[in-house]
Amino acid sequence: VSARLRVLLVDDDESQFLVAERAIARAGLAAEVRGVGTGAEALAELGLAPGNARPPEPPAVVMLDLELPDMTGLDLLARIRASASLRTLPVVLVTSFDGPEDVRRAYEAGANSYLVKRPGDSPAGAYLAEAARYWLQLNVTPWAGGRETRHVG
Amino acid sequence: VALACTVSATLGVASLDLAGLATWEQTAPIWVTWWLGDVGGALIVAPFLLVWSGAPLERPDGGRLREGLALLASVVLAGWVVFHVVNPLALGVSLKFLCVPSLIWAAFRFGPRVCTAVIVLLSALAVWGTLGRLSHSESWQLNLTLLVVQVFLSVMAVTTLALAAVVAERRRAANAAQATSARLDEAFQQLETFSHAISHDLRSPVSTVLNCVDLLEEDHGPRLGAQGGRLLQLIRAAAGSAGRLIDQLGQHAQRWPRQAERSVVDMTALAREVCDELASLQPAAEDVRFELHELPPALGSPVLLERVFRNLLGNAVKFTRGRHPRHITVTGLPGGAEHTYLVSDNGIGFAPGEASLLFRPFRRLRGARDIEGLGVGLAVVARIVRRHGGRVWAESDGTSGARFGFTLRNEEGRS
Repeated sequence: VSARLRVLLVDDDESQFLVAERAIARAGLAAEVRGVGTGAEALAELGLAPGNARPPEPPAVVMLDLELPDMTGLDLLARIRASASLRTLPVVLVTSFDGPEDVRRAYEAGANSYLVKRPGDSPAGAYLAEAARYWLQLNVTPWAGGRETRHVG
Repeated sequence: VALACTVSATLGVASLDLAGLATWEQTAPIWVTWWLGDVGGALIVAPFLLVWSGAPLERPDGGRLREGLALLASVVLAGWVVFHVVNPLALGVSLKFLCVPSLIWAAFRFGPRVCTAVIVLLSALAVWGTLGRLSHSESWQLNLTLLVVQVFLSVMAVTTLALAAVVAERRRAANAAQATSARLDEAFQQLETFSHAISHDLRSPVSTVLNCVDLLEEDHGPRLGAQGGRLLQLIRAAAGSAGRLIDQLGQHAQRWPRQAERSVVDMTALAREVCDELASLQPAAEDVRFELHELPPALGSPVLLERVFRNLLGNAVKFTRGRHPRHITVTGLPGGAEHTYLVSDNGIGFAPGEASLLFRPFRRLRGARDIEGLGVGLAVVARIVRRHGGRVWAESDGTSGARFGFTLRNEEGRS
């Protein structure tokens, strides 16, 4: 049985999702990228939306933009950290804000990692693939098995 | 005041004379008394009425109130000793100067209002005391003594009020400077926030464009043909350059720590390091001849000052391209309070009228200097030099090269 790991990408820029999906596939990671464009969709995906009683299978890592159309990334992060079941879920912020204050606030809100979008990085999305590999393959977390115990289909 | 009092005293005494109420021998003393009385009133009573008719006094705190009471006590004591205890006729030398410290105290610590009040109080004590001591003396003696007291009080009033005005003016100036500095800080903060937001808002669409170019090339590259591929390349180059500009904008806007590292910097070694690096690393700088003179050491941040040389020398290399020979000179002029540093080149220069525009961020000149570059280098230089308390300038005749100069303070000063 193949247990495909999931990456939840929360970003209203569709091109970011397309680039991430390709870069992760190119890096040979057996992971599915699920992209949503709003905070509300992300909450539904994580089983945190009101009326969404049964939590679905959580992703192995969340990649989160700081600016979403309906809420800030930090708001969404706070909702994730407030949930008993998702308290330790790895959350990687991916943003074009690079001010020291933004970085500090993100870590204080419970971010596990902070990546800055650099326009023109090549190959496109390589940094997303690296972060995905770190959280899906290299690290052992309750959400992904790590190098030794990872289930590969 | 003196002129107005002269007019009234002269008219008054003349009318007394003409009416036959005063003899001609009495004219002079009456005139002097009249004039002094008017001047005294104008200098002692009028300022008191004027400064106290303004806005109500703010409530003093405990410490201030205690100091005010102490001042009051010292004034009353001095006035009592001078005008009541000591017999003004018996003592050849008057002790009136005992009042001076209290008046200066009032001027420095309390301002014009309290000063006028103290002078009025002192005047009251003086008149009361003098009348009390001399009520049995002859009238000419009493008159003379009162005149002397009045002269003394008038002189003290003018002196004290002038002093109080200067002190108040200085205090106002200091408060205004503080307010200006606070406003400036706030403006800088707003500018930083604004630049920060702008650089983020611009970076997002640029990164979307670059993502889309990559996706388009990957998925549809073969179908686009040679011309389509070339267009994609142009889009990528333009968006990439926009991205770098935005990064530079972000760097320019970023807050530097208020207290930068400060040490004695060997400017000669710093300039040599940058020259060597430019000569060895940049193929474009191969045929440049660097002429480096001894530079006076500076006080400041080595990291920031290196950026100054890197920007100025990098520009000089850039704008001497195509000249034979290419020549860049770095000289320094030691000074008393500040040292001067000059970077000259024999490049294409710039229009003399545009010298001040060079130091603005993202200002690209339409003239000779518009070869390449992103336009924040000199703005960064200006910012660093000003941060070190120095000045920066540029000179060119538009044909035979450019000269950039900056000064740095020689001694420890406020940053």
